[in-house]
Amino acid sequence: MSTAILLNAEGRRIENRYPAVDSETPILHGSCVQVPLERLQESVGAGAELALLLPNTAAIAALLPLPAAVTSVHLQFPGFADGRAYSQATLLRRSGFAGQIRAMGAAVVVDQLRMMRRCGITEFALHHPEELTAAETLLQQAEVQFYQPDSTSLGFVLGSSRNP
Amino acid sequence: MYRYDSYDQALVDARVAEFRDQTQRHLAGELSADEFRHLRLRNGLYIQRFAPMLRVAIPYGLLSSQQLRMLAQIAERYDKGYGHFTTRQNIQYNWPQLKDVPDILADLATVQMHAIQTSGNCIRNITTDHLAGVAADELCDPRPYCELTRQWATFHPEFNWLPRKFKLAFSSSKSDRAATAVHDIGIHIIDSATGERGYRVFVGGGLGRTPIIGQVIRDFLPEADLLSYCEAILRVYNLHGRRDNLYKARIKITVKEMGLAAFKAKVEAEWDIIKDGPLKVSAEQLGYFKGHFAAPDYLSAEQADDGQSTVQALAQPAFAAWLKRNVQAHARPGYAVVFVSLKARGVAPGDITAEQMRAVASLADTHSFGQIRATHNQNLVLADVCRKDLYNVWQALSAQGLATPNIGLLTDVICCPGLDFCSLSNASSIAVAEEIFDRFESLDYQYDIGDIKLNMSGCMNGCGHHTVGHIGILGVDKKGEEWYQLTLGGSSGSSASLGDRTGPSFERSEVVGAIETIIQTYLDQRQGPDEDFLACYQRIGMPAFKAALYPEARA
Repeated sequence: MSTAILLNAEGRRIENRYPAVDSETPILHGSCVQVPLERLQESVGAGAELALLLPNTAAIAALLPLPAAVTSVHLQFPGFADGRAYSQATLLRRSGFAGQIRAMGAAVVVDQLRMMRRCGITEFALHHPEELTAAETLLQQAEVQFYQPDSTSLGFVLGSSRNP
Repeated sequence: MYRYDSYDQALVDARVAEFRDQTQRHLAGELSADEFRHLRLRNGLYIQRFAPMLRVAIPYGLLSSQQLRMLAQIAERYDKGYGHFTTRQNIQYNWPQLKDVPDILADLATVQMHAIQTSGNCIRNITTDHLAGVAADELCDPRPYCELTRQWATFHPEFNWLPRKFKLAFSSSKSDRAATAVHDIGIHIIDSATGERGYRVFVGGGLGRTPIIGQVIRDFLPEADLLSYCEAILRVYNLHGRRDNLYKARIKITVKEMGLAAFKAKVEAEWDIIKDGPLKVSAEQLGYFKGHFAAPDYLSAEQADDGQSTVQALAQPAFAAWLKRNVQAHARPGYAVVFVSLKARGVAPGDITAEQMRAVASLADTHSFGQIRATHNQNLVLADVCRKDLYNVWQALSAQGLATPNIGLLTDVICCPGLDFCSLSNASSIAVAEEIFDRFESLDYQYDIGDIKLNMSGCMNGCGHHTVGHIGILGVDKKGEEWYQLTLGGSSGSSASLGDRTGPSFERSEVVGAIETIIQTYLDQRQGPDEDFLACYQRIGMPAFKAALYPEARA
């Protein structure tokens, strides 16, 4: 995963600031790491900056409020058809979480990026590296206005909402 | 009718471009078949038994004549000259070529049509009563609410990858003509005891392998809360619906396994948080949608009806027969609702040629304010015809083979495409439908039988709604052969029920004879011609039918 190509919501390459740690590695004070849910408490206690890696079965409500040490949440899209993390992202944003949300997994493909972004996802670990150029182009394009409110601050055009 | 402005058009145009790009990448080998499959389904494109099938959306069944003409043109240009109306008020083409589909979508976009979310595990077409706006028994026109919900559902970013497909239907009449009881969410528009407008919300209905009648999740939901409540249901389903087993993935199973109370608790907890957010439907918002469905400029009763149709009927029995079966009352005096029967002898139920489509479009322009409805029984409706024009309309429809006077009768079957088109099917449902048509050809016989819904599906997926047919026919595969299971007493109306199995299944050569036995039993047992098939079955139950169908069992 550390070799995955990462793009932000604006379509720019970014570096991975959160190397993953296995269940054994001690977490050092002042470090910046990606941790699974089981190590969250321990990592906060250790004084690290964290990306929280969540399974797509994790209930978001039970995790709120997230500790301030969590500056990024990494969500999983394990299969093309498994859309649970879209709801997880939406719930995170609704809770006021202002950090990064990263999409990881097999469904992080150019054809799903726009909808991921609309759910509040701000980083994409591209599953097909060869899609890099297409993904950059797509994310950099101006977006149409959609019908329904979403987790971005773009205006929506459901019915009379389109009339200012 | 809802007309697009630049915002709606921009969305459809963007999707046309996106899908064209995806198709090109796929044909160039850059997009895998598996990934492309998920994307093409969300644009209505199935790869089917012999050819791709394209399902075009007809939101809540409403079409303009211009749109119907375009559907005719597409049938001619890209298909074999015909289309097929479905049980969800959409239209399907059975023979487009994959490489042409981006062009078809582009053509559709020029008349404000599309194939968005007509397949795949997402929110599908919103359907409603084919008499919306003209039914005397409706509380209000459900279509503004349908359009409001359609916009909320279209390109919803969170609900595009659900555990399974998701279908909503609206009804606003005492008599439910939209089969809301067998939808994932069924919505009845009602007034509370204190006269406040709102909804009774049903959840977890559905057909297929495990047919279930929907349950009331909310007895009364205020008008403004429609979208937030639907959002809460969808969010709970998206998070908790089963993803491990395709046959247990519909919301009906989620509700069953969780229990309605527990499911409702989750929905209401979520809804409580979001109900006052941006999804709350303001009066302005409702006014916007209702404004698109204002009543047309009706003539007065005296202008619309010269009383001549009664005279003409006396002179022409064929016209009289058509008036009796294919014309229904309109809420406004002087007007009538005309059904265009797509159940003619020798034609697959629901099929219509390009020429017929154009004829109907012309009739709509001249006689029905330029609009046509598709019914979930796979017929069409011209909803606003002046009674003084009925004779002319009948003649024009007859010339096109669209006036078979069988609406609501035995040969007005709901029938899936079956073996001829569908790789899932066990049965040649169209051939069986034709044989039924032949056996029951006599219209006098059909009139005597009266109102009856015969629904046929080629497999357990139930696209022909067999489980809610008064008589249901289900094609099953028994050791590689076509057999047919029969059910009796199903209903998709206001007291919805699932049909009861008669017993062992019937061979292909026996099935139509079995139908005849069932009909004869009904005729023998009914209390009089006023007791229709369903009422008779509800009174006497299965025993007499079973005895007649399986005489050897009595020995």
